[in-house]
Order: sequence, then C-alpha cells, then structure tokens
Amino acid sequence: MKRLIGLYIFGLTGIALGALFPDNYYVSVVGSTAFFHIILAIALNLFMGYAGQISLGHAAFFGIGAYSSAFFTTNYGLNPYIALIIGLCITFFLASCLARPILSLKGHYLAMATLGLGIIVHIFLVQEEGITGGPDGMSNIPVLSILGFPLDSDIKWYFFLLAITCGAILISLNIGASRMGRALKAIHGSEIAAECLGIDTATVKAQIFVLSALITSFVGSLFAHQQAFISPDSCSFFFSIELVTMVVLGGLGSTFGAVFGALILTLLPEVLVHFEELEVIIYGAILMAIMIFLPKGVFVSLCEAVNRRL
Amino acid sequence: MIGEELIQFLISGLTIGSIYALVGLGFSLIYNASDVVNFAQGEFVMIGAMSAIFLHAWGLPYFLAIVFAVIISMLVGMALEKLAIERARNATVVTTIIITIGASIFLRGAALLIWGKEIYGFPPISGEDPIKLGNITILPQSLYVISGTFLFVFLLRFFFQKTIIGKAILACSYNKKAAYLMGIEVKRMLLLAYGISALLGGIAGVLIAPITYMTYGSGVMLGLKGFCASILGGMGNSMGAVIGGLLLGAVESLGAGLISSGYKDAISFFIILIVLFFRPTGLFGKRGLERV
Amino acid sequence: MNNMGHILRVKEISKSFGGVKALLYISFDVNEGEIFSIIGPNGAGKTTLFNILTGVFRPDAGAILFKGKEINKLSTHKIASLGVQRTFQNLQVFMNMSVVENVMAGCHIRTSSNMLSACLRLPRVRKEEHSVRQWAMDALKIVGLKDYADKDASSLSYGMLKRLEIARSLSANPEILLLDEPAAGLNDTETLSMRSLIEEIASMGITVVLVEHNMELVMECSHRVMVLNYGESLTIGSPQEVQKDPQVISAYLGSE
Repeated sequence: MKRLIGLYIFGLTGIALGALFPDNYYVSVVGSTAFFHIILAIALNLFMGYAGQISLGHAAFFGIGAYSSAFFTTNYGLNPYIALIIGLCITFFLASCLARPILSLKGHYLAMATLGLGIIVHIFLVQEEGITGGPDGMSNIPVLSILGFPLDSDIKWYFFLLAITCGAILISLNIGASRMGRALKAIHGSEIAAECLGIDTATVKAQIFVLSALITSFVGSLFAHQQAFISPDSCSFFFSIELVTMVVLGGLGSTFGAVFGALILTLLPEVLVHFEELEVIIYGAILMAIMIFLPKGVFVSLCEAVNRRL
Repeated sequence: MIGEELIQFLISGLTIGSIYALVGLGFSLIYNASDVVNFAQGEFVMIGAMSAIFLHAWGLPYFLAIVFAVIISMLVGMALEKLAIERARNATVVTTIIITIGASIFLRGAALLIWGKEIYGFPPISGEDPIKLGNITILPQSLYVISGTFLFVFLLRFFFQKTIIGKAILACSYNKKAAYLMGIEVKRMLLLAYGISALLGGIAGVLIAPITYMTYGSGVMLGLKGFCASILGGMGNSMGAVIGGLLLGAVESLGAGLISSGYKDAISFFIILIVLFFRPTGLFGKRGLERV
Repeated sequence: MNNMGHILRVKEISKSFGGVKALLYISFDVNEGEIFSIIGPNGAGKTTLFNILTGVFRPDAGAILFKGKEINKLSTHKIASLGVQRTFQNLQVFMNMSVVENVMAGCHIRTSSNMLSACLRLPRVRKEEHSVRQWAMDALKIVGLKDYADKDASSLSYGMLKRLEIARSLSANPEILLLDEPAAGLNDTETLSMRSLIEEIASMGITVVLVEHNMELVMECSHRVMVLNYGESLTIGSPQEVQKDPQVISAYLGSE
C-alpha cells in the first residue's frame, strides 16, 4: 500500500538498527529519546499542523501524565497501567474543560492562553512539594512490565517505543486521510469557509486538542517509567517550545515532517554536547534561520524539491 | 495593620508593574508597526540590565553606563528587525511567533556566552536605605522606577502625537500601503519602531536591575509578563498595555503577599486566562469582525 | 401566496454595524429551482446579506425561513448542514490541500465517520473514503477541473479557483447555492463558461442565489432580480422589469 510506505520504511529501519546495534548508546538510549520526541511531535502536529492552531503549553500535559504515573505508583503502589489511566483521565478532564474557551481564541491570544496554561502547571509542580517533590522531582518510579515481561534494559524500551511510535504514525496518517482530517485542514485553510461547509469547527478543534493532549500525557507516563525519575525541568515552558520547534522544523501538517524534526532535535544536543555553552545560541539560530528561509519546514521543502525534479 | 500591609504590597506591585508596563508598551508598539508579537522583548530588558552592570563594572561612570546600555539594547532591537523580521515579511502568525521565540533563545544564548551563568547585582540610582513612612518602607529605587516609567510613557505619547516621525510610524501601523504612497519610508519606520521598543526594554532593564538580581535568563519571565500586560490591555492598545502592566503588577504582588509567594507568576497567568475567557481581546481591545 | 414554492423566505431583515446601517428591512422570497440575482452598487449590503443568510452574522431584526424552518438563530455549520451552501467574494479555497481534497472536504455533511473510527481506519471509513472521492470527482467534472484533481490548490489560476469553490459547494449536495460574485475578475470567455455552469447547476434542481456585478450575466441567466441600494431593497422583478425601473436607473446612473 502506497499510503503507508513511509511507515514501513521507518519501522523496518528501526527494527534493523535495534537488531544490529543493540548495545550502541546512540541506538538504544538516544533512539528511545527520539521515539518519545517523535510521538510528542506527531501529537502536537495534529493540533498545530493539521488544525493550524498553536500551543505553547503542551509540556503541561506531558507533566500531568508523568507525575500521575510517578505519584500513584510510588506513593500508593498502584499498578503502572492504572496510574497511567488516571493520568489520562486528569488530562482528559483538564483538556476538555479548557478546550472550548481556549480554542475560541485565535493567533496571539491562543498562544498566550496555552503558554499560561503550561506555566501554571509547571509552577504547580515546583510548588506543591508534598505531592510532586518540588524542584527535586520524584525518583524510584517502578519498572513498567508488559504481559509480565519487565522493560528493564535500554534495548527493550527501544523496541517497545518503536512499536508505539509506529502506532502513532499510523494514527496520524489515518486521521490525515479521513473526514476528520479534512475538516481539520479546512479549519487551517479558512475557518469561515469550513464552517460554511457544515463543519462544526469548535467541536472539531476541541476534539483534536483533547486527542493531542491525551497522547502527550500517555508519552509522559511512559517517560516517567523509562527514566524512573521525573522533575519539573522535564515539563517546563522551554520543553513546550522545543516541541513546537520539532513540528515546524520538519514542516507543519506533515506527519513525517514531525518525525524528521523530532529526530534532528534529538540528535542536535548529542552533537553539540561538546559545545555546551554554544548549545543555546545555535538552537536559537537554527530556529530563526529555518523559519525565515524555509517557513514550510526542512522536510516538506525537501519533498517539494524532489517532487519538482521528478 | 492590614491596611499598611496592603499599601506595602501595592507599592512593590506598582514598581514591578511599571516594568511590565514598559515591556508591554514595547510589545504593543511592535505589534502596531508590524503585526508581530515579539517574544524577544524580554531579552531587551536583560540586555539593557546586563550591559549596564558590565559597563559599570569596567569603570564607566554610572549614568554613562546606563545610557550606553540602553543604546546597546536599542541597536540589538534594530538588528533583530533588519536581520530577521524584515526577511520574513509575509510570514503567518505562527511563523513570526516562532521566529521571535528563536530570536529570544538566540539572544539568551549570546548573553550566556558573554556573561556566563552568574547572578549579578547593580547599585541603585541613589541611596540604598529604604524610606520609612510609619510601618511602610519604600526603596528609593522604586520611586525611580515608577517615576521613570511615567516619564517615558509621557515622552512616548508626545513623540507619537506631536513629532513628524512619530506620526509617520503611527501612519504605518494604520495602513502600510497608504503610508508608503504618502511618501513615508515604511521600512525605515519599522526599524525605528523596533529600536524604540528595544529602547523601552533597555530602560526597563536598567531601572529594575538594582531591585532584582540579573542573570542571562532573567528576560524570559519579564518578557512574558510584558506580553501579559499588553494582552490584558488589548493587543496593540498602548495605554491599555501600560494600565495592564500596572494592574498585573499590583494584583500579582497582592496575590503573592496574601496567598503564596511561590504562586506569584501563576497568579498573573491565571488572571490572563480568566480575562481571555470572558473578553477574548483583552480589557480594552476592540472586538474585530472577520471580513469575508 | 404559494408557500410551497418558496425555498427561502427573508422577512424584514435589518443589520447595522456600529451605527452604519448595512441592511434595512429587506424582504424577499426565493422560488424553488430559480436563479435569483441580487444586484446593487458596491456597499449596497449584498455580501452582508449572504453572511446573514449563512449565519456568519446575526441579523438585528427579522427572520429567515429555509423550507419553512426558521434558521436565523442557528449556527453557521447547522445552516450549512440543512443544505445552504455558498461561495466567497474573496476566495476562501483551502490552499493547504490538493484540489480533490478541497472538494472532498465539501462532502463533510454527507458523511458521518468520527475521530475514533478515523484513527483506527475501520472498514466503514475506507468505504466512506471511496464514495467521498467519487462524489468529489463528479463535482470536479461538472466544473471542468477533473484533470487537476491531484494538483495543489495553490497552483490553480484565479478562474479555476472560483470553479473549485463552486465544486466544493456542489459536493455538499446543496438545495440552495449562494454565489458571491462568481464572475468577478474573469475574462469574457471564462465569464461565458461561468454562465453555462450556473445554468447547469440550476438545471440540476439546485436553487441559485447570485450576487454579481456583471449585468449581462445577471440579465441573461436570472429568473428574477432584486436591486439593493444602501441597504434597502429598491425593487424585485424579472430582468426586463428591473431594467426599466426608474429608481434602479437613478441608483445606477445617478439622479438629476
């Protein structure tokens, strides 16, 4: 099937790398981080790329997922899956309550509102030491098991996350080529025209916001288990910005653009680790340069260039 | 007793609120001139403050250091317009938001390289001893911040209403094409708008530096609060931004004093969310109709 | 009066924007299957009227009945789902999609799959996708853009975009189609083929309400014409009657 060819290439490459270099740091450790980022970028792309909205606060949902898992497994000894579901419920509740008022805002006002949401959640995580451990975070989060097999090594996580990532890509592609996907893109193209075609824009936007938040919360929970540790730094305003950067780096609206952006931004710090002080400035320069010279994103621009050649 | 405490909170609120007002004014100025929300606005504050601190440490007299620091901040603002904003003139809202976020990260990175991660202090304009009025204490620098803000807000109003250049910038913000056809050099005016906006940021920076310690990362929160101020007042409404800033500072300081100081920043953003939910275009913003 | 034949009844609609009266007590009925045109100088309130008919704006007073049902309090998407479709004076094509996707987006109200079934791509969704594509291709064929189906919408010429917007509305299976200046900016040949497209749409049994500046087009294809001037309805009648009306002549040519 032509529609899914990119997914097959991605999955097979992932399997091959994992099978050939199971002990390589860049595959098992960096690879797992990349998968986390890819899923998060795909989730954000549903909201930003498809529906044309903006969120500067997605780290909040990541934090809610991660901290729910951490809190309920360490303090109450709950089953990790039950903790994960509690996290999803909290996210669902918060996102669906906020969706309509937040999404009636546009442009800069929407940016402000989502940014505020992210910062409020972050401050809560730092301040409520009794619940969240404050700035030090929470550690000793138990190992996650699948059907009795504990995920106790990097390479096991690698393959588990690879599978989840492929699922996320599939869902994103499926939505893109569906009635709902077209409704989202229509809202992106012209909200007024979408409404005049009979699309209930407020509901569709709210649905994709909640779905995007749920995926993000889910990834947060997995991340907490994989790291066995979580701190407010992992869900700061800067992390929200990083997620946005991944999406626009690849190209808004393109699933594989999000994959590409997430991969690059995962590898970049690894490359720049020797220039620690330079990391921030280079990061900023890349962000600016891409948006100025390739506003459609690197991956999408590349694809267009290739298409023109063919 | 409670009354005195409230006044004390209000004074510190108005002090920090003045800074938000200056930053918010910068936001609204750039927004009017170019329809861009400049997320790097807070970095101008940081650059102003850090430059002043270092110029002074290198032996420059206090006021000269301040003047140079403000000029440096202004030049950075103009460079930002020239090198980034001008090249992305037809970009969408999302794109420009990300460009300016990139610029903010870039400037912060540059500050990190130049000044390192240390925390710096800066002496106040005059007198470290607080003025006592009964049980209320006021830092002299607070008075400088508040009066300085009012002075510059007044000067800016004068500039836009009475001078030809100020009027030209305003004309550009109403209608670029018409302004261009009237012979106004729109490009130059945009550059100037960014310069003035960064200048305001720099002034805010040198005024606030003696009160709060400065690091390369101090600009982020100040910038976001300034953004809050301008949103609160209605994007692009200059006086709204000033009132929004003062209001935000006061409420934040009262909240910090009466509820919890750790939640100080959360209170501001909470207020913003509530305001946006009920008045999606800010307190003094016009409600726009979408043209079809 | 024969209520059965009126697909759309507009009763005493008024709308003002901050003191400026855009529409003043406008009343008219549109018969099922006819081409009903609205003409008038710029600023007469024609587009405002369309915006009110589609629920983009709320009227200050008056009522709108579509097939006997009051729609002036319904939301825009609700009105659209009843079978009222429109095009836009300044194009509102989805430039981020391909041509066929644009038209497929128009099929929204004819289909029902939700977010969850889309995520899983259930067999139901696949079947739906198949028929949606078919409907879209049918609509593109009517407007003559079948060969451009997989091109990016942004690569089309202005005249083609106007047709694409019409195809998008047609794919929603409307009962009434509101066309806002379909011939504006078109050259003579394009205008001619636009006219035959409008007549073809009417022959499909779709009622057409047309706002247009091109008098030749209006007079040749309309059954009835309403003249608006400064938010007021001057007259309604057949093209011949309207052309002879002294009020209309003075509104267009200026009175002594």
